[in-house]
Amino acid sequence: MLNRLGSAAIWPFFIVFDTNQTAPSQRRSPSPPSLVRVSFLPVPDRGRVARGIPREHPGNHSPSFALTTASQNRPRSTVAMSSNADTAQAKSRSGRLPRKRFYRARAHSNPLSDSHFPIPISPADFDCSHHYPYFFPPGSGGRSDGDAPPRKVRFADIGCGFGGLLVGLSPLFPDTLMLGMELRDKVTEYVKERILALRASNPGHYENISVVRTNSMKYLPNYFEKGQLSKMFFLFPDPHFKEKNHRRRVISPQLLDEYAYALEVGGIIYTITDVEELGDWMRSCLEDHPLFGAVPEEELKLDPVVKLLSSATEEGQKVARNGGQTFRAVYRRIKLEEE
Amino acid sequence: MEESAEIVSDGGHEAAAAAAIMDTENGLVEEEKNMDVKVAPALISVHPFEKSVVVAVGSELRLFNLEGDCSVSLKDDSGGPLHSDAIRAITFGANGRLFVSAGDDKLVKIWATSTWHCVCSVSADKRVSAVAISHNGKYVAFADKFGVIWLITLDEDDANQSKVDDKAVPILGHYCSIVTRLEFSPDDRFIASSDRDFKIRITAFPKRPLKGALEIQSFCLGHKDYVSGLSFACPSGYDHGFLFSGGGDSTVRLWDFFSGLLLATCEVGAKAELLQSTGTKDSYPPVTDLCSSSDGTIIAVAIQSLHGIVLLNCDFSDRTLSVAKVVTLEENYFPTSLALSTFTQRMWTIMGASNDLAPSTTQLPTRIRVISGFCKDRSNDNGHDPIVLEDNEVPGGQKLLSHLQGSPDVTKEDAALAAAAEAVKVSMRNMLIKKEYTLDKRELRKRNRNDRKLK
Repeated sequence: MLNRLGSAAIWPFFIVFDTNQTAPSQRRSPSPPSLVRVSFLPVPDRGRVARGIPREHPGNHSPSFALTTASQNRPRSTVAMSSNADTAQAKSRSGRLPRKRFYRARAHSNPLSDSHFPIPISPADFDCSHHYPYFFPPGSGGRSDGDAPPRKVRFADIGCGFGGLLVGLSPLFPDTLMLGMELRDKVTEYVKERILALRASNPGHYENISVVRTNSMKYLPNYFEKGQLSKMFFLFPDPHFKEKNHRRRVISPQLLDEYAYALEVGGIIYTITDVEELGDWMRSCLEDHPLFGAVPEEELKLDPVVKLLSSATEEGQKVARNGGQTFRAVYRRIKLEEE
Repeated sequence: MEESAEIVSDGGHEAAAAAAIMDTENGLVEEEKNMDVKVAPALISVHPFEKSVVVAVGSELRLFNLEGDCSVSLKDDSGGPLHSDAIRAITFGANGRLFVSAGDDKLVKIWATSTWHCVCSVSADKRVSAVAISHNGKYVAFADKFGVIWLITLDEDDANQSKVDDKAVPILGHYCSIVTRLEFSPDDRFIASSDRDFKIRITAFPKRPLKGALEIQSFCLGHKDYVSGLSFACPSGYDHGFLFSGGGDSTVRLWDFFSGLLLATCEVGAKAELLQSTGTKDSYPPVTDLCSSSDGTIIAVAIQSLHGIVLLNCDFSDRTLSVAKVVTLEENYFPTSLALSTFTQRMWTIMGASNDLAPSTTQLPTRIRVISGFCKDRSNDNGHDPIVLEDNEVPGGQKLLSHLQGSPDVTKEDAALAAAAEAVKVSMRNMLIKKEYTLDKRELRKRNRNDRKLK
């Protein structure tokens, strides 16, 4: 606890503040919020507060009370999901959607760094029943109906962000398992809570979507077998403008090999961006790859998924709000023609 | 003194916290420094028909021609040193006509073994970590530390004079992960590449590979640490053959590489320890090298801090992999590389390491041991055991040893060799093992990020 707070003192922008945990007893104390704001000092002594050192308080406020107000008034404060997962889960079970402002994270994450989160050794190691309990009732041993092969994830949303697309797709394909993959842990936590809340408030729905925190650029084959997926989504990925950072782009000629491996023949890869340069890059990567072929425009018009690309995600809505342009590239996994 | 006393009285918390941070910071810096020391293990490679043996230690290539019973110095048109930094990978082609060496100086040198002349020298963008020659001798593949695998085409139209298009073409990539080994399947239909992210990727090697090897046949996933050795085996009677792999998790695994299915796992580290009964350990030592004969009857494994090699038995029909025998050598002999001559069935082993600190003029010591007498017929249990050849029984004798070992009497170099073995262990670990940081350390590292230092 001290370590975490100590680090918060050093990094004011990554403050991991958890009001509920630091003051469990005082939380329930009846104190009108308006009073809190009035009595609060305009500039809190962050270092002291962060190190948990009691400070002198005007009037009769308790130290922990000061903590509460400090974090409430700090505009960029975030809530650590790992520490108050219980309360958050309790909230989502009651069907209340998580609030995004508590899950603010940096917009970028380094995909090249060594990951320290757990990764399944192989696709067989990926526990579907944990992610989709509705489709894998306990005791069924992974087999949902009789002797049919166990259900597998068919759609992957790479870099799912806040999960808008998953939530949009879920009712369209209620029997298809979909997995979002996101590298930023706080965002992943948000999506997790969002899905749990949706499941709680709409029983029987949204059971087919889930999310994992992972680096899909490195570990995609650890999650999906050959030809397991029928759709992959890359919506508004990080543009990485600098040329030396192009290798961090999620669509690249070499990574397309792996996407082609995970997609079944006939499976579709959807990409969209609001950055023209990246749009050109993704289109040319896909165009040049012998294992992908463009999906004709008429087909796209009939595809219900295409409409969601720009409308379902948070990023897409932002672009639409600002009247921005989007660049779409939709390609199909084809069989390599023998020469 | 007064000042410090004042600080303590003023705000003991801050001072103590600051001191703690300083301490860990110093520790961190020291640790980082240790990580900077890069030591490359000594490598050995033997001609498939045992016509010659090559040793690479540091930036030096030592060659002994067994046919002519003489040491050979390699020739290069450039006139400069052959390699200017540690050599990381050497290999002979399957037919013995070509030899490739590459390493940290970002040069891939292809040699014609008939004259030991450098056919071509291709410069890579990044440091090279692995090389392989296709079995038909038409292609040389090499991998760099960024995980990209490149291909050099060799044009063998006019008999022995190989003409080379000395431009390398990228054909596939592991996403920013050090590629540890590269291997062509015996029929050249697949290329296997392993990386430090526990993966083995089997890619279909197309007829026209310069357009890229795009079609992934399978991923062999099961290792729980970096993969350090790959070897194909094609016993008769099986369609596609098998793949052996050794890893930092102290296991050797048998794969049906066509489907990516893990068939058998042998915890060689644990088994070897048990057989030697040298006490228990929390973590088992990683596999440093692995080689096998093409029919899979001989599988030899070198394990870190095991003074000897482990021979495995593989039953392809039963899909089992078991330790057949641990061949122990003298104390303090920890092989860093293995090479098997398919023709004579002799196993060449070497111990040694590059040394950044030593002046480049000194000859780095290595130690070579040769193991012979692998029984081809495994059905006969009474078959003789493999024998470790004495120095005078080694093909080429004392002449070969004094040249390849870099010292006429290598027994005097025991201390240097032991130090080298330890350095290799640390260096390979730092390079390939995933670093685990505690929360504190992570915060410290964030503070010391390079992009934050530059204002």
